[in-house]
Amino acid sequence: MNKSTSSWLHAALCTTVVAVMFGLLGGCQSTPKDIQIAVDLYKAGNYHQSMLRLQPKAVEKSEDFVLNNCRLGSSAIAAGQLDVAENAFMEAYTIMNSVKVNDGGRKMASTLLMENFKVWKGEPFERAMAHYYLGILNLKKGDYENARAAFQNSLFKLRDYAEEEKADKKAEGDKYKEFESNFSLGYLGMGYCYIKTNEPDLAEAQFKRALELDPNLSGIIKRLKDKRTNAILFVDFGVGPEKAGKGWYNEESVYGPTPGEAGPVPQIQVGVNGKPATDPTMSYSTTDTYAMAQDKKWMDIDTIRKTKAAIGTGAMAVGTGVAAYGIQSGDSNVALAGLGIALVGAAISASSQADIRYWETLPRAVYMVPLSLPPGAHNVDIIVGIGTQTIKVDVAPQGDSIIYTRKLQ
Amino acid sequence: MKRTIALALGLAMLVGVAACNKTAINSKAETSFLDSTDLVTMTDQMAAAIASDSDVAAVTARKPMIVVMQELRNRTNEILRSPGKEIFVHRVRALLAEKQVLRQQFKFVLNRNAYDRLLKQEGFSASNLGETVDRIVPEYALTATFYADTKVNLDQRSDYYLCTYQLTNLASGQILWEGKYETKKAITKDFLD
Repeated sequence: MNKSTSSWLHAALCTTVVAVMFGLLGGCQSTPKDIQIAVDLYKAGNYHQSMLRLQPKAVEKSEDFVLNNCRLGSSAIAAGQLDVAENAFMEAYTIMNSVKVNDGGRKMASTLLMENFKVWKGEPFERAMAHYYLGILNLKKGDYENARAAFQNSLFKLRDYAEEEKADKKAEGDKYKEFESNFSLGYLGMGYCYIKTNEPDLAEAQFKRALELDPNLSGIIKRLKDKRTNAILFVDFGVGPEKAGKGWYNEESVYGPTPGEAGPVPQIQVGVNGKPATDPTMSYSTTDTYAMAQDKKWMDIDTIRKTKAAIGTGAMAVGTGVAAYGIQSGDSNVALAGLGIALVGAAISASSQADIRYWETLPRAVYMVPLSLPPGAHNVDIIVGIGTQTIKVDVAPQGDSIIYTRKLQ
Repeated sequence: MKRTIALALGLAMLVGVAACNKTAINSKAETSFLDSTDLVTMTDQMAAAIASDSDVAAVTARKPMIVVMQELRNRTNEILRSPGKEIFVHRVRALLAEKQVLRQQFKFVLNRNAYDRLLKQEGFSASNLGETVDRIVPEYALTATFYADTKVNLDQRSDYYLCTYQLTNLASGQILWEGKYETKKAITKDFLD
């Protein structure tokens, strides 16, 4: 065996051993059982127990720190534990808005081996939703300044690949355009905050942008501006999109179901003390996470994984060809070298798996229902999906009451 | 060959330790938010400026200045939570109360919200507290308003902060003293951020 063949074989063996080791160690990256139980408890409507299971996990500064805090925040806000929810989402907010979050070892492991070694920060739409929850939590405290800051942070620029540049063979690197966010819930939240801080011009600018994105929001906006409105009901409905791997090596990630598969977001009706409080001709839906999950603007890029998959596939093809030539020509050194190249290619491809961690407790839809209610206790019926959910609401004598509720089905 | 296998296993272990390490968040992670360095620098500057201002000295030469601490107004794009938010104002107060000579010049009273909270906490009602004429009435308000010009694109975020402080005469509305602290913070996304 000559020197170059030996080198290729050594390289192949190194890479294969490393890849196999981490295939075996993949268990440390799968969703831990206790987290899965917590998520299942949430999906069964047992928010308090879900919160209790998540609390010890949310303090571990692991690669799932942000994700566990988002899960905890979801459970806590649904359970009415607002301080726990706020602390959890603030932990997530700090890391989401940080850079250099992954140290050298994490970067190397994520690039060479499995992407889910990196610290999860969420897809852009998941980050937007985390900021929305911080907005609601600050609104509930009457802290319109911090609420505005939270909603503002939900409106970061998005990227989209220009279709014509994908096809451009001369294009180098990633080509994309920046877009202003189309997260209309963020604009509505900011507009409302500016109303409460007596800045109507700034409020109007936000509402104008929300209307450009979705003219159906005109009813909500009109009621938010109405001085008789003294309560806003936020309803998180349904279950958010699920993430899975796609592609020969699962190098891409895909969310589902699509809005086409799931059907449109249902209309909501709200009754207060047995009387209708919503207008059946008005839309109260502000967000469809199924649609956001299908929009490439709301996704992070897959370039690294796709590149690795392509390199790996290419190396396997080359290696197979070289090996076949070596066998045909009776040259064992060439055949072995080809085998080495193919093994390297296989290892690279196997390590291009997408990170399929996602925030399981997001809703499908967020409804925003402005109400005008006399101070005191009220029974509020929420009719959307299956059955009616009744909650007891206490409207304050002064200021606006912000009400949040979760309806899973 | 043995050396190769040993090298491969060693590399696997090293990367495994890095990847399965429970402390995943890099201690050197950065944000473009105000931090403790800004807090200390800003409040040191403001307290020193107030203590050495000639207009303020003209007031305190006649009698102690009675000052109410107002809540900070957050016009930035950063969530500033309580009680951390209050530190930006209360550290100025603490610095102005550090030395005996300053304590004779400045007297601080609670603002209305903090006062009401304290009453509620201690189980007092206003009627328990005696005649209002005997209460200390603030003459000046120390206020702080923070602004930020935030620019965000896909790779970078920068926040230019303007933190303003004012001593305002409550009776006339005149701003007796004003100070500012400016800083720009910029962060660039790293690989995998």
